Amino acid sequence: MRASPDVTKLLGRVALLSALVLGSFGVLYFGPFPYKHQLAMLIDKRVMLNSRPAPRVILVGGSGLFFGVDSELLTQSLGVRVVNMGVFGGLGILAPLEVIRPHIRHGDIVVLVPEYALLFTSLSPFQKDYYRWFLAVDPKAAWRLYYSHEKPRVLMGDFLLLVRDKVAALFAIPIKGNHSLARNGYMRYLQVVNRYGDGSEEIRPSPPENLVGRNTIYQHDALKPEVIEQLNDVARRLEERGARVVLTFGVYPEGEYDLSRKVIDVTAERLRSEGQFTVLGRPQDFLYPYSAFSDTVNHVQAPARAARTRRLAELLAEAGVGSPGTAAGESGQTH
Amino acid sequence: MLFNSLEFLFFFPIVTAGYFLLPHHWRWLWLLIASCVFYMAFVPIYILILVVTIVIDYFAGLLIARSRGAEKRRYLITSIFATCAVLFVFKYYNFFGNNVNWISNQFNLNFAVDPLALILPIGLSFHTFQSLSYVVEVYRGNQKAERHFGIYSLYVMFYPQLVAGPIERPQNLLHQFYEHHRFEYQRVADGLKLMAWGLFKKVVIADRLAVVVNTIYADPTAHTGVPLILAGVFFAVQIYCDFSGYSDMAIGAAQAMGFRLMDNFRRPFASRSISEFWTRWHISLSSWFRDYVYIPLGGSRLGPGRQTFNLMVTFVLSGLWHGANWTYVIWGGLNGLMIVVGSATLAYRNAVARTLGLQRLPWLRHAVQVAITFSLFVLGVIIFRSTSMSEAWYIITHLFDGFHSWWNKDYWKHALSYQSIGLDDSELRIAFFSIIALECVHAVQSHGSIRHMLAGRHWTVRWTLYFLLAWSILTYGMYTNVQPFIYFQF
Repeated sequence: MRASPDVTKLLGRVALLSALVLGSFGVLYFGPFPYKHQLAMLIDKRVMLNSRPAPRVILVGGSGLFFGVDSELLTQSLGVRVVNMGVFGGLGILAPLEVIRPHIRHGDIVVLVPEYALLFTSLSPFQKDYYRWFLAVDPKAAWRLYYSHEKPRVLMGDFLLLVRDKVAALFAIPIKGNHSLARNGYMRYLQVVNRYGDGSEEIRPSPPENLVGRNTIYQHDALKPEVIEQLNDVARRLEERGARVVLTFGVYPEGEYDLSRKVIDVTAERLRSEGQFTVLGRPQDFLYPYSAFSDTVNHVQAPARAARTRRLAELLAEAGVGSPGTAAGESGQTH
Repeated sequence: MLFNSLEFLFFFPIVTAGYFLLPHHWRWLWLLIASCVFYMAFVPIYILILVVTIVIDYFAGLLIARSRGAEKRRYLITSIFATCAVLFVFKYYNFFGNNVNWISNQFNLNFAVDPLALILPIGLSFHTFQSLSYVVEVYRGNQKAERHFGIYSLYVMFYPQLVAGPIERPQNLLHQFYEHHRFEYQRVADGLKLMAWGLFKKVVIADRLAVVVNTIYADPTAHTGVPLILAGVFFAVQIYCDFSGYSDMAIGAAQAMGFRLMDNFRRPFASRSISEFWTRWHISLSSWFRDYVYIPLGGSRLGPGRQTFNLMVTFVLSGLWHGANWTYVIWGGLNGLMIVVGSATLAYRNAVARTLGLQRLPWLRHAVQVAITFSLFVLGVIIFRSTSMSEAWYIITHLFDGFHSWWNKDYWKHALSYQSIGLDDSELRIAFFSIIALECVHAVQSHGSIRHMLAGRHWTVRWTLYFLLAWSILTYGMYTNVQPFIYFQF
């Protein structure tokens, strides 16, 4: 087969079509079009993080943080700008940290708030339906994450899913999934996130009896050794960037704590003794009655949120964070 | 190797480029090696079964060609028997054994057939039938016996149609391996477009609908009403898109190298009767049964009674060809019965149409006929897809359960929920729009060749369509849950 005009013509046209398709993917991926998916708030939260000068108190966790902290109150209490990076516990805690890590600056205080379910399963679950949002935030970090989970081939498919999500948003086709963080805020994340990164709309509470007896009772030795190793590793890497790392406990109903008390207490002790980071307070500091929760054992309502924030402020202050009572000027833009 | 795999993305251009780069007298060898690689990507050892079939029918062809009379007939029968024996052992032995054991149990006989631990080689029924058509055509004198063992092997193993057809006749394919195909832009481009269209049907429509079908058929007894109807309708569309998509890719891949394979589908869902349907669906198999079973049995030449018998035998065998299970046999028989009943009631149906005034509204009559034919096909594929007749019976008898709730919005919300059917709203919407796109193409095809239609359009129109097709395949294709082609199992 010599390079006849026919061959050249075919190769030229295949190349042109490929370039058009790939170009359109590039335009959609890099273009400033919104995603209509709540996990796209990761992108906005990273922008928010970058827009705040150090030192900052950076809260990292799941939806228990997203709905469970009054960051404005915490900022006022500590006199240090607070950025709530909590999004969704299903993403784990290590993966969001991998995306955040390049943006950590000297003097930052990173507060890790892993939910109990994460501590006792995996800090880094690979959730195939959600992982693409890391790719939307930071391709380099995403590559490391997919590679560490031995899923580099999935990355290409997830890239195409992101392109699809953007097209859906362009044509305003609502994407409904089965996992909603905020029943009343779904697809309206731009409205439900305040300028600190907190979820600003209340979740409609379900009757407390819906929570009783429907949750995991944690078993003996639930905390795996690698979890502490992973936390130590992440703390070391954050401290290399000049940050201080502290860990505190998530909110939990008193009744559920009673059912798993032994395991939770032992876990807290092990974290304190084996962790190469500061552990703030005890699990009991963040226990509330069932009636203080909304739809899950991780989501508290306004009164418990305020109490939790005050307690967190006290613990951070005791650990030498900020100057309580002197509110920091909020320089960030309304999100 | 699957057409919708990453491996094929490299395999196809390498094989096609190699084919045109090599001198003509080496091309058969190149294609034969490529076909072996293609087949061995599934289960390498099973290529030996193909070799056995090829050797049997190659020598049978030579012997038949040089014999006369009873000897010739003996060679033909021996060849058919030997080829079918391979098929029987791998595909039907355990089915036969199970039935013998069941009968033995019923009569308290101390006899049991032990099952064989064999996996059905991919596409066994396809290349067996292609081999059989060769010996029969040589016997009939329609085809000269092929002396070149390599070319004959390639006829059986030609990779585009090796595992799922179209089942080619030797008169159509064998001589093409001797032709010198030059690289022609238009032909290669048309082949690629056909492959892209086939891939769209497979990865965008069929594999998406497969999620719903597999979810519901995983436990049909957990469903009633709308989800069961949806699964039946979706399976009908899925199997069409899956198989016709494969055929398009096979025909397109062959066309890119200059080979012409027969059409396998001609818009079957536009059929106005089941008998018309079978002239449009899996044409290479339907015509195979017509030419090698129905007509030799006497066809319609021996009176209506015998024709009915011939039809039923042909369709029952066609059902059995699909799989070693009573569901396939009954599905085949049901299709035969529908054709017989359709033929017997034609005059009555015409009278009813006249009474209702449908003669004055031919478009409405046409639409009603198409809808009824499609519904009957769906009824058939419910049996085809079920794992047992009791499962099929459950589905058929529960299709309209809860009918009184159909006017309730909440019923639909639940029936079409992710938990019920396994697809969320956005995926369902994609499936819906893809099927509309498919039907638009079919509508254009009903007025002529889509290639000719496109050729007359401005380049911007053509390129927009090519772009959308490529874009949809990449973006809306199902790649995380790749489904094997349904007909591979046959």
